[in-house]
Amino acid sequence: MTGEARTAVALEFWDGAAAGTGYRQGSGTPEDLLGLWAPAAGPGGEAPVWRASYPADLDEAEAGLKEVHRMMGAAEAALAEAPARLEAFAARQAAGQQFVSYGPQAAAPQPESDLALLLLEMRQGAAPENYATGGKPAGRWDQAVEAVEGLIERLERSLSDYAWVETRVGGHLVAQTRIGWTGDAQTVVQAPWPDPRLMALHRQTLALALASRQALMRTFTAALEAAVKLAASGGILALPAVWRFINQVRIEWQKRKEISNG
Amino acid sequence: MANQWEATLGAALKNLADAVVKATQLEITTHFVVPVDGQVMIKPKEGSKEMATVGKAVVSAYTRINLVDGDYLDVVPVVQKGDTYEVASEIHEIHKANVADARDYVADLVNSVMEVVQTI
Repeated sequence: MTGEARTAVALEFWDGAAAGTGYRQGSGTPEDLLGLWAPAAGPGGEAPVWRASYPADLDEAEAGLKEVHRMMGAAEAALAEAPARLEAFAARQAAGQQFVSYGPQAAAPQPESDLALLLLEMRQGAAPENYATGGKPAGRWDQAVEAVEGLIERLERSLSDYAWVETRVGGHLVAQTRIGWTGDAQTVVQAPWPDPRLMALHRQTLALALASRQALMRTFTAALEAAVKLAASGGILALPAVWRFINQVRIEWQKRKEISNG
Repeated sequence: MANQWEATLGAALKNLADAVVKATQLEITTHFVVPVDGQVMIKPKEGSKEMATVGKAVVSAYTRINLVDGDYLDVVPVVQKGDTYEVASEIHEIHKANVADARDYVADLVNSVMEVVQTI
């Protein structure tokens, strides 16, 4: 996971894509919105798999899980920033204010300036000229479109199937749940009955997986709303730009936190 | 392009919303399985959407909840105590926790789906 260096828990996600394709590469945006789940090596199968691997030492496992929850809270706080900034951006845009700057002399790229550029590119049907060099920024719109297409594919797969959630401790699969979108669930645990601490780990793994899935859907809904507001022509044409913006805000927030934490 | 996204997404999200809105019951099963090589596992039965457990299933607890009127059915293992039978409490407690988690999830899901439905 993104925080592997900071916690003993490894969280992995397989999105149910055809074997070997798992995640889109080079899309310019992280595939897990919360930055918690790393792409799984490819367990195969069509259904999404969420897998948490904990160390055999349960004290260490519980401490790692606590850290995962802290990271998840931070990621959710970062995502919560995006809608307000999008609202402010849309208001400035409606008032006729523009902020576009790029090129060697431009200030460090900000999500808002990147969003403005992408929207300009979208409206012009091509990347705007860089007045300093006469060139064009390379393929940002294409990257953003590719990211959204990957996201839509993932959402489509996710919505059409159930998910598996696995909890491994010390390398052993100790509990597994198959859960559908509407909540029907089958859980397998060790007989005669499992260690309550192992069950608690599995329940929290399940909660993390479901919360991650819901976060993706909620954020996507917010992105759709913003895209409709930003596209002068209506519809969701601005979705790639908005989705990229949301991811950039999350990354920017993480960097700020890392700096403030030293 | 955007029209294609809207069609794809609209259909997927609408299917989800329909499924959630139309869902009238919730089924939760907890299987207690003797591990094989220290592992427990469920997997799809070949050629079927049903699940099979790997390992020896000892007991299972099952709950079906009617989401419309709240009525429910619990099927839980019992143990004989003299002339009577009592619910196997350790198993029941673990299963009840799973049921509570599923109910919480569904409540949260309904809120999320309503947001989506209002957006699309």
